[in-house]
Amino acid sequence: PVGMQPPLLVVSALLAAVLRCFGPRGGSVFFTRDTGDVLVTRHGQKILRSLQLEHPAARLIVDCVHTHCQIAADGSKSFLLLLSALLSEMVSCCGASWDSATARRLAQRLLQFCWTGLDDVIARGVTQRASLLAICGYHGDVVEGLVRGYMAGRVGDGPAKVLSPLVCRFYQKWSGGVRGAEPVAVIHTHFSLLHTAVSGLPIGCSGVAEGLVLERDWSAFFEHGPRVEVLVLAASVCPAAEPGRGCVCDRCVAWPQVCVCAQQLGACVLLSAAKQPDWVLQWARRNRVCLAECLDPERLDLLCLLGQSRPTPAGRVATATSVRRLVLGGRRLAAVVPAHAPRAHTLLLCGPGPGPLDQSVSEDQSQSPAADCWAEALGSGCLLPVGGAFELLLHDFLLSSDWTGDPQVSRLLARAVLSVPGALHSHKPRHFLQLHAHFLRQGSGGPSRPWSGGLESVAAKRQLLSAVLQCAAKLLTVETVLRVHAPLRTSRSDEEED
Amino acid sequence: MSRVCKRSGPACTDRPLSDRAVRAKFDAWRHVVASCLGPRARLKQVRNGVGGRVSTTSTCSVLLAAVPPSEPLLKLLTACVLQHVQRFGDAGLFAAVLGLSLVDQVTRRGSDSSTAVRVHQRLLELCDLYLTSADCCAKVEVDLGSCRSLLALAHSGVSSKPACGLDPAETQQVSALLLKAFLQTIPCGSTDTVRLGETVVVGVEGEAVENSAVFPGLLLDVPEMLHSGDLERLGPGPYKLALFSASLSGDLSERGNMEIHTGTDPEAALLEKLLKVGEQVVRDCATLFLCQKVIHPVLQQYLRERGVVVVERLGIAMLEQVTSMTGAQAAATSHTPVPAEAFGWVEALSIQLCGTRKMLHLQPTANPAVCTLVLCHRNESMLDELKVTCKRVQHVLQLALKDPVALLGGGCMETHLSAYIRHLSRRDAAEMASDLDCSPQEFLLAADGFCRSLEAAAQALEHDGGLVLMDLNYGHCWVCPADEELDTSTLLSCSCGLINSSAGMEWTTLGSTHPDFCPRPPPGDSTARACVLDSFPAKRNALNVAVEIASLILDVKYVIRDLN
Repeated sequence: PVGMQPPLLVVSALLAAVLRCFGPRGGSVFFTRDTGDVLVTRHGQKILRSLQLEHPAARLIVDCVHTHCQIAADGSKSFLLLLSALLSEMVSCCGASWDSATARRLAQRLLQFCWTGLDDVIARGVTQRASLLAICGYHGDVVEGLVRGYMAGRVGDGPAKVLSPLVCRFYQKWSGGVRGAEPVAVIHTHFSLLHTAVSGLPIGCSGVAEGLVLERDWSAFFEHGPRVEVLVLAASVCPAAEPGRGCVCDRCVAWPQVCVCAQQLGACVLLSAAKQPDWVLQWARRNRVCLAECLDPERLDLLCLLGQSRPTPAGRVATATSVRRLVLGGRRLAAVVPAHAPRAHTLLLCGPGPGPLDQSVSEDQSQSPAADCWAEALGSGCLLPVGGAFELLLHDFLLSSDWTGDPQVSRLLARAVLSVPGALHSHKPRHFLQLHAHFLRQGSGGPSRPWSGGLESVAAKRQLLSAVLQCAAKLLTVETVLRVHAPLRTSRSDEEED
Repeated sequence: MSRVCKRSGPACTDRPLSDRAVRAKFDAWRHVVASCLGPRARLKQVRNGVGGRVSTTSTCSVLLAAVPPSEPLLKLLTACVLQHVQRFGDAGLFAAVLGLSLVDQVTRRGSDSSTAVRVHQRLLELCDLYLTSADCCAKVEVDLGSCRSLLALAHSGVSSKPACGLDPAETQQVSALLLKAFLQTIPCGSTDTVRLGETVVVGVEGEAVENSAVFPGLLLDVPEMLHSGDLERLGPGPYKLALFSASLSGDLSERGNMEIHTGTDPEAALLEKLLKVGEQVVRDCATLFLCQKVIHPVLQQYLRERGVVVVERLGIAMLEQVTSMTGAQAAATSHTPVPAEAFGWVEALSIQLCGTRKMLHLQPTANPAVCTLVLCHRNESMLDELKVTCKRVQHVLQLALKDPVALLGGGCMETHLSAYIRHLSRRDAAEMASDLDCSPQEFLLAADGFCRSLEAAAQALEHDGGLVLMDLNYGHCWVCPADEELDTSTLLSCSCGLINSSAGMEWTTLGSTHPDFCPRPPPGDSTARACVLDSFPAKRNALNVAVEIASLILDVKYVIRDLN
């Protein structure tokens, strides 16, 4: 049988691991394995996944967090914070009179509120008032604000300061100044191929490079004119010794075809996914042909996609406006700018070592799904400053006389949401009170202070609240946990049953 | 037999830096690293309990790679420092000492680590701004027109590694040789992109250091069958050279796919092909025949009989050097004849005796920017250290060519920077604190920790119990030997040699509180005097890396260790 206490304890335990990295003042969590793998992260979802939990309730919660993050890409730590606050509020408000029937009733009411009341509350309580006080006072680029707000929670304030303008520049290069969802979608789909990690340099050396960086150096490199044909080979070249005989093996490219192709199209850049024999390299050097080998096939695919390549018997051929050699802290990398995608750029991320580098890389990686949300947020235009503004507004509205919903649920929720700004300002409780007072004044027409920190979107916050309410309801409705030894038919978590 | 283990849960540590055991490990590691710093460093002997090599070292790249710390956070630090050394070749120990001191300062005071991290990063920006500005007094221009500052750079690099076991005269000689070798790697003639050549280092054990020398061109191990008489018979140079990167051993296994017709002996057929290659090379009047891999003995015999000098098993590293020195193109197959343009040229051939090693000396025809440095030393361990040191110094010199600036060494840069940052942080405390969202007291405390860490790096250079002082005019570092009474009148010049003692100067012991002062630029006539110099790019990057790693370590609030 499941009571109220176990879920609360589980949530608290999970929260303990995650709370240390909550907010811009939080730290990071350091995972090690005896094999020597390390992971330094502030990413709530990643921490939860790495914990490899066994407790059924814990796995249920982690599943819910995961689902939420897939939609909103952010907010896993706030999720746990809210859930924990909500559950403990329930326990303290019901006290001794707690049983499974009460729990289910309460769960029902929570869901009811989630389906019917939430949108209304946010529209009246937050969006209306937010438009009065937020956007009008914001200085700076909205995209940068969003990125900044997001990054600060992920890599800490210092690196965020360096990385967020960079990410914005990257975004601008791709979009060419036009705001829209298309470049965001491209970056999102191919992000793993659009960044290069360089270790041994401080984060400040990070930058944005033109074209696609191929992560390897040219085996042979010569300067070429402004427009060159690039031949992409998928396999290694095989010498067909006598004409008309063909190759002995079938998974390779016949050399005569490559030669013909190179001559007819004037291709003077060869990119190959496989290692080529030494004599090909020698040939390339003699004929002033650029050659890069052992390239990541996926990167080559992307290059062909962006470069609108056309197939030939030897391989795919794309046109490039320039081929270059990048020098990054002693490492040389090949870079190609496809002619049909002049806006293609690559993000170069530097870090002092593999651990910290992973951190910034993964934060950027996970940030790309968030881009979807941002595109939406940019469209609807409702944004709030980070640091608890949303929660404070919601709290005030739920307790005010303007709202006539379920009083018990409203009270519960109003108290629970305060936990987020409370945790953000836990190092300075006085600051929290000041902020609260400041918002109350503003709500009643007080002076609005201009600000330029990070931003967060109301849509994402709404999503978070509804996910938490649903998760809480789910936890409350479970009555019994049955342990089975046979595998369940579905691969989903193995403890839910009615 | 197999059994199913239940997965054990991970071990979690909350706030690892407040754990006493972890702190003790940090302290021990800091001691190990700090005691390796500088010319009077304490050497470390690294050995494995079950036997094997013993190496005596005080070099960061050797020590950190050989001794992995058990604490995961320290492993992270070590990995970052090694990455830095790989990129810049120098100032790895400085990065490690500074990073560990920063962590130590914050944990010892028990102050809020996130505030400290913000302050550190802010001060790092100030340091960077100051170091790159034109009126920075901690750096000197490297005059590429004269050898003076380059020699000082090389000398500081060599003398800071006592495990090389060199006396002052030998240090001077090795630094001069290094500079000579370096100058030979700079190609003549001005093109847009200058590509530096390389110095090949050949170590000879059991010889006196004075026998070390620099040769233009390359030295190869003399093949057994070659006698000095063979070379005399060649006549005057230049000589034509054929170079192969493909194996000429005639082994079937290296051939990949091939068709075999019945009735032929494949090995004989292959050998015939090889001999054809030899025939063609002889016809083209080549005098030297070099191969990266193995050459079939019959082919060797055939070539030797026709007066060709044959060298096999060059190795890939040497192959590149030979290619760039002689202009030859390495033939990657023995099936096609060697084209005329693939031959290279060598000016002269001679046999050099380097201690016990007999080497074949290939002299270049033009100015190919390749040279060989023969390093002699009395024993293996010292020779290894000397080799590493020479590589480091070469790297530093290359960096100096790119960016002709050097930082003051001997701890003067650290004390000067610390004095400057201290002055700045006191002056603008209120403003910066409000910027960083903390109280001025918190800011000053964290800034003090930062400055003390810089001073700790300067202090770590002194190991003999001497007193480390800082003057209150220029902020330079002075050392008063341990066996003397502290008498400031006996101080002659600062550690880097830039400032001479003069009347009216005041000193304070490093680490003690002192009145606020803004370090002045050194008197105008002295900039040429600095005799201890450090690489500017390496040290600047080390400073950045150190602060970033320290921030990262301070940021870690929770450690989860997977025990499976």
